[in-house]
Amino acid sequence: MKHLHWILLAVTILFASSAPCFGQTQCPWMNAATAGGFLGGEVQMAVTGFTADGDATCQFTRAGNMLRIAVHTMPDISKEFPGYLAQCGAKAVSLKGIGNLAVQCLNKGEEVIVGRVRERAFVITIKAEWAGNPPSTPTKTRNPISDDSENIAEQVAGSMF
Amino acid sequence: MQQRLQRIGSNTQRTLSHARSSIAFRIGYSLLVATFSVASVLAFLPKPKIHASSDASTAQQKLTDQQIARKQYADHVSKSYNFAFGPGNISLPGNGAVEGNTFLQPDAFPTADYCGKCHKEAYHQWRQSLHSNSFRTPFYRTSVNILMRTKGIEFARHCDSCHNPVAVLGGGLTQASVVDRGFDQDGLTCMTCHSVQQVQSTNGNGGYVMGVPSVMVDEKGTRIPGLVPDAEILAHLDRHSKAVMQPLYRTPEFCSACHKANLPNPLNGYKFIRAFTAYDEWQNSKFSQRNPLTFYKADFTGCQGCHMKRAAAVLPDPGAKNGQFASHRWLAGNTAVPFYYGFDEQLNKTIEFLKSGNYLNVDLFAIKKANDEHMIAPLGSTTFDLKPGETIQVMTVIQNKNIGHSLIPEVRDLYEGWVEFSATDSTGKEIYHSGFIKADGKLDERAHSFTNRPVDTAGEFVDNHKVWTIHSVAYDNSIQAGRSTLIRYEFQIPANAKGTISITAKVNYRHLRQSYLNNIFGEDHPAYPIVEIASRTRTLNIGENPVTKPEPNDNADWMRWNNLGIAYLDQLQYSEAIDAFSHVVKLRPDYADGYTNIGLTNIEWEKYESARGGLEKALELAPNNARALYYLALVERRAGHSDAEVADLQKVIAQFPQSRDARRELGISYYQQRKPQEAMEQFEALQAIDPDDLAAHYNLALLYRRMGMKDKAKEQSAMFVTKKIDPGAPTYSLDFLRKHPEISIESVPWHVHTDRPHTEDAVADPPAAKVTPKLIPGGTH
Repeated sequence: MKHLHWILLAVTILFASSAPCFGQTQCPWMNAATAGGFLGGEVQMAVTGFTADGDATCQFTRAGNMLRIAVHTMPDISKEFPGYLAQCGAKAVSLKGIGNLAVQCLNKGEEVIVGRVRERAFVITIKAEWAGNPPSTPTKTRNPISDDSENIAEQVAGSMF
Repeated sequence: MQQRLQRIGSNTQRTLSHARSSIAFRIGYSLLVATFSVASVLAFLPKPKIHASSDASTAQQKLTDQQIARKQYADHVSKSYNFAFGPGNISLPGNGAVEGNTFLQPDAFPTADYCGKCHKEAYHQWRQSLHSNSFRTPFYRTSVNILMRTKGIEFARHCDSCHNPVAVLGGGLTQASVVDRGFDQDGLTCMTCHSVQQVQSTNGNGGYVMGVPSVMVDEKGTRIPGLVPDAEILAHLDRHSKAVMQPLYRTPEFCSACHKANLPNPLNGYKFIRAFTAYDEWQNSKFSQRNPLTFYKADFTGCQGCHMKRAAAVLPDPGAKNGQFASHRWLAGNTAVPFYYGFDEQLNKTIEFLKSGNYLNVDLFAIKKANDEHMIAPLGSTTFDLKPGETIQVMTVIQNKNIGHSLIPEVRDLYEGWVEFSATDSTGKEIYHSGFIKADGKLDERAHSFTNRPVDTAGEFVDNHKVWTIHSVAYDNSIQAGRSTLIRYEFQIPANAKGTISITAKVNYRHLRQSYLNNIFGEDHPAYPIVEIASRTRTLNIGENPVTKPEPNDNADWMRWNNLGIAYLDQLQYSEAIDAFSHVVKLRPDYADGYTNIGLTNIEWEKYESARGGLEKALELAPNNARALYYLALVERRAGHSDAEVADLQKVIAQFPQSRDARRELGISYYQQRKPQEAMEQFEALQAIDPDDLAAHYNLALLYRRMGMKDKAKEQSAMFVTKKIDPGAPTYSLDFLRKHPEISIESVPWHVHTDRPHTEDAVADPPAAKVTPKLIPGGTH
């Protein structure tokens, strides 16, 4: 029992190093480790829906917990942007420090950030699901809803500059 | 248990061979790996994160735990880290270093939230400061993103060694990073600065040595890594203080780690190019008291003396002394970041800072009438007449009076400081205006701007701060600390002018240049603040002008002449400079530096024997005056009086041991006297003051070789070669200047700003009214 932790580590390394490569594609705005910071540890990552505009949906999962970040670029800003703002309605909160401008609202259980970096207008949709209660400790494990969705949006918008 | 685990492993291997591609297997396999991962992590982390550490054994245990955790982390990161700049080198092309010389876990840095529990004032100020926002702002991200996209993320270690040290030292700047970047939004967090243990040299580019963060030391003074309970800190404040405060933090050398930067070969694939060096500028200023050659003297003031001034703490903070707390806002010129984030408190304090302190002096010094060499000066102290229709040149002197570095410092390709000059008639109608903001928000191209123009190999301005493409600088019109510049504005008084004419010169500052803001946000961003730092207005009568009373911030007349002389000297107008300095000694015959200035100008003019009289007079007034002795030594060298030369320089060094100029010249003197050991000592001392001094590299290469120290000679020789300016680089500058006649005149030391049409404009598009192009030595714009 004295060397249990070493044995566990060795076995883990053995298995992990011989693991087949599942989903090597990277999320354009956030790496798995950062997502892991929100979900409380190592995560599985799946990236889908890549587009020429650089849009994608990144889904991170960990033991029943899930964080999904989807970015959609509006091809026609003048048509789409007001529509997204209207969806947010009066509940939209203006955000400082994200892109040229950004507003945040909750829509059908998802956190929505409508914003713009230069000529690129985008919608970031953030959804988090928790197997149990969402973690509340503010350090390593962060709640991606509300304040943390703002942080995620800042990371996404920051990479667009 | 062990056997059970082996069985599980064995069974799993068998399953692997039969069902590698099935989804069920993938899920099962992932669960297994996750189970082992969790189990092994738990096995390694049996203790709670925060615990008491007052006894030595606990401290030692924490140290050991940290070392084990760090090794595991470093091994993990190393596997996928791109060691593009040499095995084991984690921060090149930056200079950031860390004790233990391997990756340091980001979560080894206690967060600002943790510190802010007690240090409320510090946290509040820091949150709005540039340091806490050093990484996240679009002003930074735009540039560094270009670097990452065009050259690769590994090159960003150059920038992030200062902008995001936790990311660099944590191994986050690599393709397929395995580092949680949750710390990005805290930029330079409390424990980045408060963990630095030493600076490597004053080379900059992140020239710090980071220790493993620690908020407590044990009874023996050993740093205890990780967090400790608040109660423990409160019980041993002295030990907390010892862990997080170092005398180093109060020195300018600490700031030099990042407020000095170069573009090294690994970044630009070219050669060493000096980017900026606020530290050296400070060292050469009167505030360092290390340089005997400054024009004026002042009490010692380090970086912290201006940028971390003590003020009454509003919020509770145990770091406050007698209710006064050293500012953690680091107020300076950046209005853009607080404007963008809506940090109104920081913005207002920044504006207040820029407008305070008597940093600059604006002097509408003299008037010259067209075709008349006579200078009406100093304005206010002399009578004169003005007539309608006359063309006059207003000679404006801007003195960098009390800034401990250049105006403008550091990133001059992005910051914008300029002179706005205007002349209006008695009805308020504009007669002449230079340095205005155009409708598109950009600055009048022909403004006198304290900027530089870095250019690439295509002779194009390096926009967007793509510093890795810089090969030359077309010109640099910044004003060094303590010096002055002369700007000439020429305009015609309307033929029907009556009453008065009001002339105003303002020094304005905008953070950042409009075209850079456009690059970041597109052209539809709000107007960023323009701050008037200093200004002066004079009212001129059409007709007779009497002597007028000076304003409170005006310099005394002798100093006005002195500043004019300094400006002439820097514009290579030696005869005029001597004339100006002669006025100084006439007004202040007791002022030794006035005579030294005459001597200095003669030396610059290569009239060495003429220099002697002024210098000897200065020494008569102020025996042992280091500044006069230094210049006299140069005269003695020219006269072949080698022993006198050495004796004078020795006296200078006795008073100013950190004078880089005196060390350099004494090294040369010894070299010429064939005293290699003594020469070497001087050049080595010089290198300790300024590690980039070319003369030191060159001479040490020669001296070491002669002394048989071949490796050291080779090293110095290589540094000389890379740091020496590429003799071909000015061609890129000339290319740029040829393409931009509207501003090319700014590269000429002596030039005139005028409302008269530019000669090239007149050729390209002749105006309706007849204009006689005026040939002005040095040019017009």
